[in-house]
Amino acid sequence: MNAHDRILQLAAIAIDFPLPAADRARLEHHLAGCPACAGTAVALRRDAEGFANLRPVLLPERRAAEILDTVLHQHATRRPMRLLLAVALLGLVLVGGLAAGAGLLLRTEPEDLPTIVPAPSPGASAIVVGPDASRLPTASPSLTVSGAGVGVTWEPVALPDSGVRDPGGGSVDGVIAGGPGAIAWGSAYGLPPRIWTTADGRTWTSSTLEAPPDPDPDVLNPGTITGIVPGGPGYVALGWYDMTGNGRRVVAWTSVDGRAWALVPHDAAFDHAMAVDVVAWRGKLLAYGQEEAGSIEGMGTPIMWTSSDGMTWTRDDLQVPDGLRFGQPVVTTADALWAIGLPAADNLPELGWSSTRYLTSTDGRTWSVSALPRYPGLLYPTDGGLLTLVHGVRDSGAGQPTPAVERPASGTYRTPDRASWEQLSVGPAGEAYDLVQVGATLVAVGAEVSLAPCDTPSCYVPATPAAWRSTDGGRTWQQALGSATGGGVRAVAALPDGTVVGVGHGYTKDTVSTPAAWVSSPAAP
Amino acid sequence: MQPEAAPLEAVDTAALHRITQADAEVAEAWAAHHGEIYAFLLRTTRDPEAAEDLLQEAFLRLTREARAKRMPDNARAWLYRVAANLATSRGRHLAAAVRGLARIGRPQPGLPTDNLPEAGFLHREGRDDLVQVLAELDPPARAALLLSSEGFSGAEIAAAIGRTEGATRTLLCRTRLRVRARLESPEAAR
Repeated sequence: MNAHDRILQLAAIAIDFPLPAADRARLEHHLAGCPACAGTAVALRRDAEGFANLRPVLLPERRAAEILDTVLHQHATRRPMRLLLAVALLGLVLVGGLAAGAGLLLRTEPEDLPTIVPAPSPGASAIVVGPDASRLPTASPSLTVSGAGVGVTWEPVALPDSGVRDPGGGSVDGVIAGGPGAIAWGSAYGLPPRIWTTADGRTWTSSTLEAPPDPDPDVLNPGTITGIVPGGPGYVALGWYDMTGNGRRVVAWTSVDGRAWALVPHDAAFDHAMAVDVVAWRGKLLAYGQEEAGSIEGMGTPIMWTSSDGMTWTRDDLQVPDGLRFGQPVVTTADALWAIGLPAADNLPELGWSSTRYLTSTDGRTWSVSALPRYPGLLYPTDGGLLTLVHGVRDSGAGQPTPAVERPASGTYRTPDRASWEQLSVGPAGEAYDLVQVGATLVAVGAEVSLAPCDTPSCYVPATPAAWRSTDGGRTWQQALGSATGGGVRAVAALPDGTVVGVGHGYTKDTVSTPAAWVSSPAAP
Repeated sequence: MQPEAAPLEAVDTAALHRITQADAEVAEAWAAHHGEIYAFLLRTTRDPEAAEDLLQEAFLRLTREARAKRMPDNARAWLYRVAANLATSRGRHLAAAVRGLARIGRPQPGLPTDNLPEAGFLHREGRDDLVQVLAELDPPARAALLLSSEGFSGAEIAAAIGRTEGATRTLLCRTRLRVRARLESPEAAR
């Protein structure tokens, strides 16, 4: 770096931070005698002004009204005295839990079983109504849904070491069946990535992963786990870290039992890259990510890594169709891998799910565009075929100088031929984020969201944890988990005995998101 | 029973009064700031649905604060801080609402700009490349630049994106110089 470079650094810094007097004097003196640096300094200021003068992007008025209504339109219903006090403390159904990880146990009597009402219009989502004309859950004595089966009743469980610091909060991001029963991973603001394991879904233990030797000390959350899969000596975790100096590096850990993890020694194949997904397929571990290269930090060449043991990884380029960029997550079926291809021309605000494509591969490296239409839902392989769950239908584009994006109606869809979709149902009612099949039962988890003004007998609770079950392949759904406390269930896994665990986030009384978990035990025979 | 009605009403009324007053404050903040917060989120996440979700989340949090009598003195700064944190945390926490829409890969060179929303409003040669360059940055860098363009100080930006002031100074310096280099490169001249 020469003197001119140092001066230009000062010029760039001065845009946002005050310079010490000596540095300011040095900068001004140099610019007065160096036309080239003076020109660049002016250009830096002009660039900053340019960002400040970008054309404002507008939120459609109708959507803005919906969001404001969601934010404000919450009020109490008539309730027993003890519950009204609890509701008042909750801020009247606002997203803000009573305590970390504490939710209300919701069980319903058979006559209280929520009814799934088909979407009233193409632009709306299915709604749920209760027998007393309100869908607000009650904290009155637990009632058990009649009927045996998986995922019928749920309860929140305590997670150890789930404390977080404002403002970033924390969450549990994923879970797989494995280890003693299940292995979950997540993070909390300002703390290293964390692993939680459980044998029964109720009692969890936690551990942290060893960080690489030189994480960036200036980044409060330098590390992230992106996935855990069976492989290597037992299990392999993949993630990435912000490293001191510049850039990111993929990091891998292995474990025999899912509880204790060892950092995989540094591999040059992981330098200047970040992995965003890892899968186990046909005896190999396949990781997908992007390269950090070139002069602009950020988007890089899509790349992949393969390993047979989780310890040694080979880096390789991905072959993706022209005009598309590789997306995540990667889903596996017996005969293929699936991913989402995003258009290379990143024109916002036109960019949306309808501009994306499903990509498919039979070797993990070479990808082609699938004939299957891209719907705004992830793919879930089940015994009944590939499903997708569409939720949160909104009218986008109204008022924007862009074409309105047509979306399918909310519901469960199945592809009979990997070239088309058939709608099985309008449920589950809410936003489903993950799905697992346990025997003949499908269990979906996610969140219920506020969809409409609370000026009808039916009221809606924004962003609260939810779970649903279907025993007919997704043709009908019954809600099995609801909560008055905020959060969402992001991922679900089934233990060998049929116990289902859901992980995600809740909220503390200070309205900070916190790692959270729920369990559903199979009904007693 | 009648004797229980009074305590119920007292609790109800007090709570409702507090909510009404808080709601008015939130509505005022919404009217004043939702547009710019949405624009910031949209440019940071480059995902219209994610931007809407995060906008809602930011104002839900403001509502909770307001109803708990903790309305921030500077709602605008508070909203930007929460929005920036939500946007930059999004990738790490793989927010369920945006799963499947992560951007991986390098935009193709020669991006056609005529159909960009900004095209009709770009009045300086080469300014359309700002949009392209912005898209090439990762979320923390993008958020930092956009926060700066909204008039926030370096210290405020650092707090919003969860980094120390020193790291933010480095991030912004490096990002600005790279943006400039990118704009001066032959690709940008196309």
